[in-house]
Amino acid sequence: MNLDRKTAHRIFIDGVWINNPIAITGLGLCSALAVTGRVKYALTMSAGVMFVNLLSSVAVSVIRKKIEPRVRMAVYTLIIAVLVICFDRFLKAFYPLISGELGPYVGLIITNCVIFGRAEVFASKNSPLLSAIDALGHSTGYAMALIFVSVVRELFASGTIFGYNMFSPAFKPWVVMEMSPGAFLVLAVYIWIVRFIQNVTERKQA
Amino acid sequence: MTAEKRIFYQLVSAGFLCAVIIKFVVVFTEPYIAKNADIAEKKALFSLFGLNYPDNRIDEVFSKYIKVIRTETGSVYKYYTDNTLRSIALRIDGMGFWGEISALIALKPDLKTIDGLTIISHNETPGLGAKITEPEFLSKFHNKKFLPEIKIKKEALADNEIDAITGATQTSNALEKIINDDIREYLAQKEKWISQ
Repeated sequence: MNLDRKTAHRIFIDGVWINNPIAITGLGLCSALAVTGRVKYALTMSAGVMFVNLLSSVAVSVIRKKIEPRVRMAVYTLIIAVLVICFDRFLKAFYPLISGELGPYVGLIITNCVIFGRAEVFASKNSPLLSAIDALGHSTGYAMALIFVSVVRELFASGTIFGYNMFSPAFKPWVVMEMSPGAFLVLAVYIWIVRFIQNVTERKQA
Repeated sequence: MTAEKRIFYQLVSAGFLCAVIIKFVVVFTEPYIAKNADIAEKKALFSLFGLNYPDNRIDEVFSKYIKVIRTETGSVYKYYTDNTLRSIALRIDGMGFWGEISALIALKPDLKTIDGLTIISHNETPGLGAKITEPEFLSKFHNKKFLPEIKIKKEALADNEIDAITGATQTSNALEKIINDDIREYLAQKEKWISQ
C-alpha cells in the first residue's frame, strides 16, 4: 500500500497537537495527575502508554474486518490488558525501583482512555500502518503533557530535574507541588498554554 | 455459521491466546522478580545493620553474618560478628493510613533499645505520610527504648518518645501501633528465636 507523506504527517500531527489527548480531548488525565511527581516516572509512564498504544492499535486494525461488532470492545480490552501486563512484568523484572515507586499506576494503563479511544475511533476503521502512525502521534501528545507537568512539579517540589539539583541549596521546596493540588494547578496551566497558542494560530489563519 | 457461534469462537480463541501469552510472560519474568524482592529485603537489612556491600556480594555477606528464623508473626534476622550477637531485626507489617506498611525494626541484644528502623513498602501520601521513609525521621528511632511502648507524638521528650511527622498524624499513629503490636507479639514468643 502506498502511503503518501502528507497523510502520514496529518495523522501524526492530529495526535501531537490538534487533538492532543490531554489538552484538547481531555483523555488520560488521571495518570497525568498521578505520576507526574518526578520526570523519570512521567517518562516511564509515557513509554508504557506508547508501547501499549502502538501494539494494540496495530492488533485491533489487523482483526478489524473479522471481529463481530458486538464483542469488539471485549476483545480490545483483552488485547490492551495483555500488553499492559507484559509491560508491568517487564518493569518489575528489570527496573524494580521505578516499578515500586509507580505502584498501581502501570497496571492502570489498562483503563487509559487514550489507548481505548484510539482503538475504537481510529484503528477499527483504518489500515495497520495508518493506525501505527496515529497511535505514535497520540502517545507523543500524551508524553508531551506528562513531561511538561512533571518537569515543573519536580523543579518546584524538590529543586531537581532527573534528581540533579537545579537551584542553590537555599531553595525552599514547595511541598504543594508534590501533592495533588500542585498537579491540578500545573496541568491546568499546561492546558491553558496549549489552547492559548492554538487560539492565536487559528486567528492568524482566519 | 450463525453470529452467536462466531461470537463464541472469537471470544474463546481470544481468551485462550491471551492466557497463553500471559503465562509465557509470567514464567519468563518470575525468577527476575523473585530475585529483586529478595535483594530489596536484604539491602534493607544491610542498611539497618550498617553493612555496606556491592550488589554482587550481598548473598555471600548475608549468609556469613545473618541468621534467619521464621516465626508465626514474621521473620527474625539475627546479625552476628565474631560469634557475638550485634543486632536483631524483626519484620513488622500492618495497616497504615492508606494501605499496608511493611518495615524492619532492629533491636539491640539487650531487648530494650531500638537500633534502627527501615520501611520496605508503604502507600502513604507523598510529601506527608511518605516522610516515614526519610532518614530524617527514621534516624530518630535510634537508641530509643521500646518498653513499655513507643510513643510517636508532638514534642517528644522521654526516651520512648519520637517526634511525629507534621501533617501526617494518622500515619504516625498507625506506625506507632504497628511497631508496638508487632514487638509485643515477637516478645511473647521470645523463646522461639532468642536462644537459637
